[in-house]
Amino acid sequence: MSCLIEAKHLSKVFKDKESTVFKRKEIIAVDDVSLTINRGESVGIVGESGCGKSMLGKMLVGLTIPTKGSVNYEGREISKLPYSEIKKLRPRLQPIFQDADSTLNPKFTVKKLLEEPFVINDISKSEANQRIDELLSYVNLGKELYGRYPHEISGGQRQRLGLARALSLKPDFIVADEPAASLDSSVQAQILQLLNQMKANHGLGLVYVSHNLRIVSMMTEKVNVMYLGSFVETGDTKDVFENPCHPYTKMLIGSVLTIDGDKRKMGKTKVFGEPPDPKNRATGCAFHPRCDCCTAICKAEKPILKSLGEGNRQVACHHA
Amino acid sequence: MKKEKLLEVEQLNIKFTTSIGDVNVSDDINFTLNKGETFCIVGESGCGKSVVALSLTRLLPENAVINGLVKFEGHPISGLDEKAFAKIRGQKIATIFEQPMSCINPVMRIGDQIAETYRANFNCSKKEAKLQAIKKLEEVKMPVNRYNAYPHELSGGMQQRVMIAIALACNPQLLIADEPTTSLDVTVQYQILELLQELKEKYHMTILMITHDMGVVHDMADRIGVMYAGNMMEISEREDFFKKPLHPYAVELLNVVKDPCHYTIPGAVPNLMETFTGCPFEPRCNKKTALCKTNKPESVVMGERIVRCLNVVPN
Amino acid sequence: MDNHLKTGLVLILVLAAIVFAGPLIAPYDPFEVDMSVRLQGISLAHTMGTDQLGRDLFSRLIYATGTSVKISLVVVAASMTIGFIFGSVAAFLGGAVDEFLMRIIDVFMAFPTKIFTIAIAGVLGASAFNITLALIFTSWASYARMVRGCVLTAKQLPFIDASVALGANRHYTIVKHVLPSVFQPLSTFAFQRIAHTMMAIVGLSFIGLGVQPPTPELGAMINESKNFMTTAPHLFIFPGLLISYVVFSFNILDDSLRDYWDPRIKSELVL
Repeated sequence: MSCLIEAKHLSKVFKDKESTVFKRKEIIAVDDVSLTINRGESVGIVGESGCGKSMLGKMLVGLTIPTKGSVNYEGREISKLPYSEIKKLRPRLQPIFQDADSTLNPKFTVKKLLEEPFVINDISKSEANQRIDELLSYVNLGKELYGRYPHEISGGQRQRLGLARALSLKPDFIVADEPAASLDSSVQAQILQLLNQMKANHGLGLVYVSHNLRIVSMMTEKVNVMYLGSFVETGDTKDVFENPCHPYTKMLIGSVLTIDGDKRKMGKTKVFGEPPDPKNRATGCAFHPRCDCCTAICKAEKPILKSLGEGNRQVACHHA
Repeated sequence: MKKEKLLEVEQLNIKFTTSIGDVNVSDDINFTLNKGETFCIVGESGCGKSVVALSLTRLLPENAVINGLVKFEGHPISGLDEKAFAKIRGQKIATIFEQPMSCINPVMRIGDQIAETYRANFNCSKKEAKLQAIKKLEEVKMPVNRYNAYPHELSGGMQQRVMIAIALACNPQLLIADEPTTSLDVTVQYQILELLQELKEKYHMTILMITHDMGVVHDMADRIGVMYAGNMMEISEREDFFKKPLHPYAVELLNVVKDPCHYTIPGAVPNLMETFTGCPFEPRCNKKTALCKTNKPESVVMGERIVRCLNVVPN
Repeated sequence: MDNHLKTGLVLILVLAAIVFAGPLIAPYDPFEVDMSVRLQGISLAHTMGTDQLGRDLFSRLIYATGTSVKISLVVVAASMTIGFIFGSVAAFLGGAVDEFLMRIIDVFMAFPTKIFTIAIAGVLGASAFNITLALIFTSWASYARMVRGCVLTAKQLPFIDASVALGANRHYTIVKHVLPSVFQPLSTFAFQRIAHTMMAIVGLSFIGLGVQPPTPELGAMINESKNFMTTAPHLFIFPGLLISYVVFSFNILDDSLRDYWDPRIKSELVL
């Protein structure tokens, strides 16, 4: 298996709005994260809101330049390429955004939105039209939508339109950031199946960013659990979900309400605390204020990802 | 044991009149809430579930035309005038929403808001109201030192707790929860639902929960109503529903939720501006017969369950 | 197109006809003095009567509207251009350039506009050209600030990211996405300012700092008529009505265009 995307020690640091000339305040959105994605593989990134998972996704497709670290696409470092190379590379790496509505210019019609990728990349009209026809049948949209504006079509149609645009340039790598979060379950299923189909047909690498653990567990082969900018647990999805090692992973999995099984789940797991604020980072292990097996070392020292057992399981916890 | 009925809704019809035509969002809906139970109305967006809930407290915009009978504790409340109804809305039925900020005053300290609600309904001294507000904050597991915080200083989950505290300020008998956890993280959702469950038991409240999340339904509901395109398709007890849903829509919905990577319901929800001659689910249904297109199904009572489908026959 | 916009367009078309085809419709020479018919009321020969020098009021009004509207159009167009350049340069370059340009704009915004205009007109001498200059000088800064704000907002819109991800370069996103989203609020703003500027010109001319007699101008005409207010009220009623008409039609048009350009407002809210 060839390695498609390799991210090494990625960090993203923002200047806080409250910082002054004298006192610089920083918000660490992503903190020293490494991961690799192979062709035909899907990798999940899960975590609560504000944990930096969307920012990581944006760095992986080269939309945001990392403060530290590098993203390599087929061995070449994206941020060091000259512009002409980046322009060629762009279509290969596509994001799918959570909020399809805001990623479609409200003043463009559906037709114009579909044509945009081809216009940008100087692809001839006839080729573009042929490709658009293929795409429309692929994502199951009709031509009767051509004259409409994004707000005049349904949420599911908008999301499929977004998919069609992302697919139009035949990418190798897709970062799907909560692509189905705001959709009804039946429409959500349509989008997920499309993504799976894309992966199967074109052998592309897929990063699935979500807080919906149930879907991640079904969609991905590997999963990374993220807390306050760092990975706290990584490994094969099946292993992680069957036998979570990090207390945070346990909490996350425990709080997912499913309809499997007869019994109610409520009250079985201890879940407490709020999603953390990157501005007020706890010392040592960032998770310690919410952890019920926290000891002195957790407050003092930040745990690093350590391999655990066989395979590619890694956990960042002093007590794992 | 015969269950005591708290709320009965009979033949509820709601439509919105707009300049481009009428939108029927509720079509002959019947359901009852028993005292102390959690009833979940579940359905896809645009099926009218929120509208039905809001109509119970008359919170709909002015272009809504509501017909039907609503009985609360055996007394019809649908005919009451605004003044008499306001009393019920304040003291007996409370509502919480998906967006807490839509009903919390952004420029008022949260503690004062809870105290104010209490005072408005019980006519007590300021001091007494403050004590009550502190008690409510403790009940929703908020640190009491946040009494003087402004809503924007709180996280989404905390805001939701404040809204629950305000809703519970006058110990309502019925709590209507309209997608209370949809925009929250799973971990926070879990805590809020736990809190609701705890408060329900403590105050013997009845909860009417509106949601599209089957996982939430599975954990919270005692009985379930499935809505589709303004119709109540099925009402069942929780165990029955998850073991063997009756209506084809309910069956498919559960399949999709269980395995979204392999099941899907083809098509899309219908536009509520059309009038249905047959069953509204007919175009997407995989069990349809010729009759479904022309005959509108009526609600059929099957023991404890109610189903609205021509092909589900009581045996 | 809704009725609101239609009304606005009709009103503006009538106004355009008065302004640009005015000399063709006007029955008399607006400068022609005929003391034998001075201060006459409404008659067949003189539709709106005559003024204190016996000039035909109707013809003068047509020319006067032309003067006022043309000056305000020039002022708005010029300030819009300057403001657009300043604002977009500041927003696109950002950093120190932005900071520097914005401080200049702050200085201009800090002047009390009316008093400053009066001062300039007073120093340079009252004339149509000077008042145009003065008005441009005092009004461009608000356009610049507006454009900068719009560009900064537009730059952050998620659909810009989406098009960058598809391979779009800076030039493409600016031309196709950023500028169109600036254009609409800018033109709405400009339409608003036409009516506003018009009032300023009329006001300045009324106090004698703007267009000088005998050139017909609405404000100046009202000024001239003030001695005959009781004996010949038509001399100020007709110009007054015209001022209201012009301002009203620009406001209607501005309002309806804003609705028309935003496709989201157009579609009806059902629930």
